[in-house]
Order: sequence, then C-alpha cells, then structure tokens
Amino acid sequence: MKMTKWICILLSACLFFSPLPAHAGANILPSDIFLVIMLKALSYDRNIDRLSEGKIVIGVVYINGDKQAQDFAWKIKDNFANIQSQSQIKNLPTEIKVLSFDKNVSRETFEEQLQQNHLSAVVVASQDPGINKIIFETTRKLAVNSICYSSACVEEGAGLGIFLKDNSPRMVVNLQVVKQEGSDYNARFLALCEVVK
Amino acid sequence: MKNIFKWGFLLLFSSTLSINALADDTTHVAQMMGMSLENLLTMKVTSSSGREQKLDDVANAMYVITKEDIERSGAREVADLLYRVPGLQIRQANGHQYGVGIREGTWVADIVDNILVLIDGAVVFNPMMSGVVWENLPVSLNEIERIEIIRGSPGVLYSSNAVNGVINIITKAADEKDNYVSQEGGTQSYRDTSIGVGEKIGTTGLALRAYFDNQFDQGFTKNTTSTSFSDRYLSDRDGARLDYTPSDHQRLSVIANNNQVNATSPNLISGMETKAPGQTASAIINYTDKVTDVYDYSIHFDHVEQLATLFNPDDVVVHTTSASTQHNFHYDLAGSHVTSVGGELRYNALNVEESNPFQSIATGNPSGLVTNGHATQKIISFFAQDEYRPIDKLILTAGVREDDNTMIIGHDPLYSPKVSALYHLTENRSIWASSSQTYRTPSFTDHDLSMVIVPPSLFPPYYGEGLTYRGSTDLKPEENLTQEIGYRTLLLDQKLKADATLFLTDVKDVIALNGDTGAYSNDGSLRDTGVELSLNYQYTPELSFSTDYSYLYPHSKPETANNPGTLLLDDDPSKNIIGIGARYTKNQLKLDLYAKYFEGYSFPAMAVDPINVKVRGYYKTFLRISYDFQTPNWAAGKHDATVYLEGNDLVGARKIEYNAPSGTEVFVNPAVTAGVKVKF
Repeated sequence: MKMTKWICILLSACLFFSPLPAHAGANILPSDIFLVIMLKALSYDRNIDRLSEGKIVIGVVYINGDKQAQDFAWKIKDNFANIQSQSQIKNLPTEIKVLSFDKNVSRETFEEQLQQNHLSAVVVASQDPGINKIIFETTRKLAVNSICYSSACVEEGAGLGIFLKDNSPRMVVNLQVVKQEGSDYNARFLALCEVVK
Repeated sequence: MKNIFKWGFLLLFSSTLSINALADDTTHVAQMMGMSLENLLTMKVTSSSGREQKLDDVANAMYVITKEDIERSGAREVADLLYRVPGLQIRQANGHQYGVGIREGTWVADIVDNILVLIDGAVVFNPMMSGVVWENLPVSLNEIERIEIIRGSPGVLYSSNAVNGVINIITKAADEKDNYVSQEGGTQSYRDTSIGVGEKIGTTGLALRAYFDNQFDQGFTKNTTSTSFSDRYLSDRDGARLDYTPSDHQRLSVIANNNQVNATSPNLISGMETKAPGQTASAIINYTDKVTDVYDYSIHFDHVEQLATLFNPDDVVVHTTSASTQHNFHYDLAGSHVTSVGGELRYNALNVEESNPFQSIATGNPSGLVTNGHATQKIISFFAQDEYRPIDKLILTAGVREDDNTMIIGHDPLYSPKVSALYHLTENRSIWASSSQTYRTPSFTDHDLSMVIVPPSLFPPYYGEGLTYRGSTDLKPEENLTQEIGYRTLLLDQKLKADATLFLTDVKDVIALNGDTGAYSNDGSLRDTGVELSLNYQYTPELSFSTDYSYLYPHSKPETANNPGTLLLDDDPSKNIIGIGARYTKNQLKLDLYAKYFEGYSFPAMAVDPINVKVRGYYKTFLRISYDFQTPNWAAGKHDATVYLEGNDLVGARKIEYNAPSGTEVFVNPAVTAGVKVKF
C-alpha cells in the first residue's frame, strides 16, 4: 500500500500548493483548425468573389502588442502556406495577408488598408471591444466578410465567429451583419451554425 | 490503515474517472482540408483533461469514427461500425449477436473479455463474463457523436479490464443542434424508426435532449426443419439527458439510457428459437471543470443494470455502480508537464437464477443448471500519470495504476504501469513506442459460477463432462505485457496518410476453460505478435481511398501446448484482415464503399457451434449511396433531408449448413436498406 500512500500525499500536495487563479476562459481554436474551418466556411458564401478581382485576399488583423493575437495571425499564414495548392475558394487563387495596427488606429486608416489590400474577408484576432467596433463598422461599410475567433465578438458586430466550445469547434453567424456585409450563405451552412438574428 | 488512506482519498475527491477521449481527431491541416465542414465541426480537439491533444501526439494505435462516418457507414448496429477500424475482428454470430475483439489470438467464443467498452464514461461490459452484449447496448446509432478506439493497452487513466483496448462511445450533447427523424426499411423485414431532439432552454445554460429508436429484423438463422428464422430482434432504445453549462469552463451532464430487447436466439440443441430478451439501463452523471489554466478535474458517477438471458428469459441480473475522478495539473518544470491523478470505485453484483437442472430436456427445450449464481465484486483503483514534454518534438509519458479487487486471492493490489515515448521526426512524421503491463481479473463466470449447459449424457462428443463451465475461486488474474512501436507519416504532398503499428503481447496465467475438467484454471501463457497498417489517400477533395491490413500470429508456450484439454489453441493460428474503401462526395451526392475480408478466423457461427464450423475466412461488404436535399416548405419550414440506399453483404452473402446437433442453416443474406432522414 506504499503506492497508495504516496499517491495520496502527492495529490494532497498538488491540491494544496496549486494556484487557483482566475478562470481560464480562452476558447480559441488552434490556428490550424480555425484556418480550415474558415476557408470552408467562406466557400459557402455565394458572394465571396464579389470584391475578388480574380483573387480572394483574406486579411488577418491584430493589434500591436497583443502577442497571442500576433502568434495566432502568423500561424494562420504559415499553415496556409502549407496547403495553398489545395485551398482555393471558388476556384480562385487565395492569399492570406497579416495586417497589424496600433491600438489607436483610426477608422479612416483601417478603411484605407482594407481597400488597398482588396480584402474579401477580414479575420479579427483581437478581443478589444473598442478596436473591434471600429473594424466591424468598417467591414459592414465596405461589404467585406468579418470573421473572429470568439462568440463574444459576434455580439460586438462580427458576421461569423469560429471558436472552441465544449471541446469542439463551433460557428455562430449574425444574419443581420452578414447580410450587411453582402454575404449569402446557403441553408445547409446555416444549419451548422448557431444563428443570431 | 490502508483503508483509511483509500477512503480518505475517495472522500477527498468523491468521484469518477472521466474516461472520455484520451486523444482526439485533430489531424494535420492538409488532412483536415479533405474533411467536410460538418465533420470538422463535430471533431474533438481537446482531451478529457481539457488540453489540446492532437492525434499525432498520442502514443497509442488510435482510430476515431466520427459522426459523418457513422451517417455514411450503412451500419445497422454499433458493432457494424467497427468493421472499418483497422485491426478489429468482428464476428456476427446471427442476426443480432456480435463478438468484437482487438488483437485476440485465441478466441473460443463470441465473448471477448479483454476490452473495455464505455458509453459516456460508463462501463458497459457485462462483468458476468467480462464481455459485451452488443445487441443490448443502450445507445442508438443516430445519437452517437463519435467512437474512439484504442488498440492495445490505453494507459493508466482507463478503468481496469482495458487490457487489449478501449472502445469509447460518446453520445451527442443536449445542446447539439442535431434534431432528426428517420425511417428505414429493408430486407430481413428490417425496419427502424428513430427520432432525436435537443433544445437549449433560453440563456439558462440548460439544455435537454431525448431520443427514441425502435428497430426490428427477423434475422437469418433457421433450423432446416423449420420455415421460420430463429434469431429475430426487436429493440426499443430511448434516453434523455440534461446538460448544464453554467460557464465556459464548467459542464454537468445527467444522462439516462435504456434498451429493451425482445430477441430470439438459436437453441444450441435444437436450432429452434429460444426467447432471449434482455435489457440494459444506465444512469450517468459527468461533471467537468477547467478551473484554471493549470488545473482541471472531472467527476463521474454511473449505475448500469443489465438483464440478460442464459437459460430462461431475464435470468441474469447484473448491477454495476461506479464513481471516479480525475485531476489534471499543468505546469512547467524543465519542460512542460501534465500530471494526472485520480481514483475509481466500482461495485458489481450478479444474480443468476439457479435453474432447475435439465427440467425440460425431455421436451427438447433444455434448461441448464447454475449454482453459486450470486456474487459481488468491489474494485478500488488509484492512478497517477505524468506527461512530460522536455522539447516540442518529444513527449514522454509514465504512469501507474493500482487496482484492489476483491476477486484477487488475498486481495493483493495489482499494479499496472505504462511508459511511452513519442518523437516527431519531422512535421509530417512521428514515431512512438510504449510498454505496459495490465491485468484481466476473473469474471463472475471464471470465478464464481458453476454451469452445466449440456449434460454429458445428452452431448458426449463435446467435452468430457458435457458442456460445463465451472468457476474457480483460486484463479490468479491474467497478466498481460504489451510492447508496441508505431509510425505515422504524411506522403505525396500530404495526400497520403499512413499509420503502422507493430505489437508483441505476452499473456501469463491465462484464464481458460479446461475441456477435460470443465473448470476454469490458469493454464499457461500465450504470445501474440502482429502488425497493423492503414492508408488513406485523398485523391481529390471529392474522392478518397482507404485500405488497412492487419496480421496476427498467436504463439502458444509449451505449458499450454502440453495441456490438450485447454480450449485455447487454434489449428491454424495466423490471421489476416484486409479492408478497402472509397468515399466520394459531389455536391449533394455521397457514395461510400467498404469491404473487409477476415482470413484465419472461424466463421462467426462458431458462437452457436464452436466445434463443427470450420470456415476459415469471411467477407463483410458495405455500399451506401445518398442524396441530400431540402424538404418542401412544410408548415414547419424547409429542412435538410437525406435519402439513402444501403446494400450490405451484396458480396459475401452465403449459406452455411452444419449438422450438429441438428440441421441448422446460417444465412448471411444481402441486406438492403432504404431510408430517409430529415433534420430539423
């Protein structure tokens, strides 16, 4: 029974000394899974190629200083590089760009960047409600798809959220926003999502 | 003193082993690009500990059957799904009775006693014979979220009896947006009506789900003197669950399932039908909490009741009650660690009606004799494991489990250690190895029961004392030592995924029935060696091919070979399984093909007559074609729907005739099924 004693002692020690900080709430998908789901989701949008000019460009946006978001953005780009040959959307060449902004970015600057890069979709790797508000207002104005990696940012104005819940990927769609962004998802796609009207 | 430690430990954590997925279906990006969005959204990306654990990081031979796989399988039963898993041996004894084995070199009946089968963490094997009554499982195919299969010893986190592997069935959560109604009909008078509904209750965090599934088929076995089949199957499966998610990190699930079976089975003597009803009901409570980034835990409780038929309807009653807990600690110490500790308490009780010996032999409806049909078993287990990642490419895991089992002589504790290492050679190549020691404790049949199924006066050719099973309280547990080496790679522009496993298993103190004495005893040792290979090639986004091959060679040690009475040996031991499949998806059209050939395994009907049937190989084939569409705009709106046509055993259909004890014909008829499923 020595083993039992040691297990008890170890367990008790672990419980006693283990810190119990704030709840872990990061329900962000691994970047590789997020990327694949995002590409497949965009392919369901009948209007995704409306701004394409023969090429679909997806911008992944993060705010300078947010290390986690920066890593996420670059991992998306790196993973995409590995599968570029098989990841066309609507048979169009697809490109992913990483865009960084300062926290005090103006609406005008952001709008200008979106237009200059001919973006068809923006992935927002930010959980700052203030920044997100500016981004989502701009995507609605320019009719660009907005995608984020939490359910909360859909409530802040994103069209599509792809995130982790109960250990599984989930999608939530804001129907009103995606309509304003010019997207047209079919019923089969919407059946896979949680829909916010 | 030791009891104080045990109970203190259990009280401290009051709970269960959450045995959900150890590892999940996260594949490489390129592989995931070949998956449908629906499939992607149903895959799990974290382990039960809340950690992300990619399949490539698991030092086990593992396979995941996803919800999409299930929908596209053409399966009528859970066991049908398992045909597709590399290395699994499936035997369908009659219309509804199955045996499922993992690396079983010496199989003398349809009862396989070395694998652990779980439904939402509840152990559903029957401790009477430590086997699984597959036809009585309280789960509907439409309600399964995924099935995770581990071949070989899964590790110390899993409950005892997980010797040769684990089949972990996970059902849909209540808040799954997956409501359906389906209707199927087909040959063998098959019909199935199924409905499942889940709904969130506002923003309370509560969700409810309920399902019902009614299934019937007439089977395919009959006596040559009879015009009717003797293996009919009627089942009513139903269940409900409540999920409560008060926050992002907490989840409570209360699950109740039931399967009421009214079946008949071929009588061993006459081949005519014998009523064989059964029922399995389970109540499960699971609670998980990812408290912090460094600590998470789970608590599990279940109670399972099984009614089965040995000689008379419902004459076997088994109660199993389990409580367990698992705690995971994430920290850095010369690399990253995840340390898991926990414990489990399991109590089994068996009641077998002590039948009147041979009361009806004169009428051709024999009943056997059972004595010592009342027994209990208590198992208390503790485990500790550390997963250590000194560098990104290397994962080292070591753990030990202690089981105190009242069926073990002197109640001596059993220690089951496992060590494993996994190394990522490159981004697309990894190699792993593991060594483990596990124990199979005796079942109630091995340990307690005495059964005379066929008396010698009636059936002398079988065994010396007729067909008898006599338990022995002197049995030691079977000791199982397994060594495995595995290799995974992606080739050909990452379109080809290859997986290979080599294994060697030594079994000591084999618990076996001695044909001369009719008693169970520890009888020598065995060695099984083998290889398992699987390939999946994503030819285009629409079309993929798969193939798998497994080879198993059971060796006997001299002491077993010198005991000719032991019913362990096969006269041609080498065994091969070959599978080949294709999957095609184009818009709303889906086509699936799969075929498997088992060579070296006696025909499944051996479960009815283990001696006289000597077919050394058999096929199983599946074909399914489906078309997705939108329903017309009914009052409740438009809905996604699927119509499908399935043809199983279109190749491989056959008729087996054998003469002992009286003419019985076992058909494997082509099974054609048409169905429609509407999601809402």
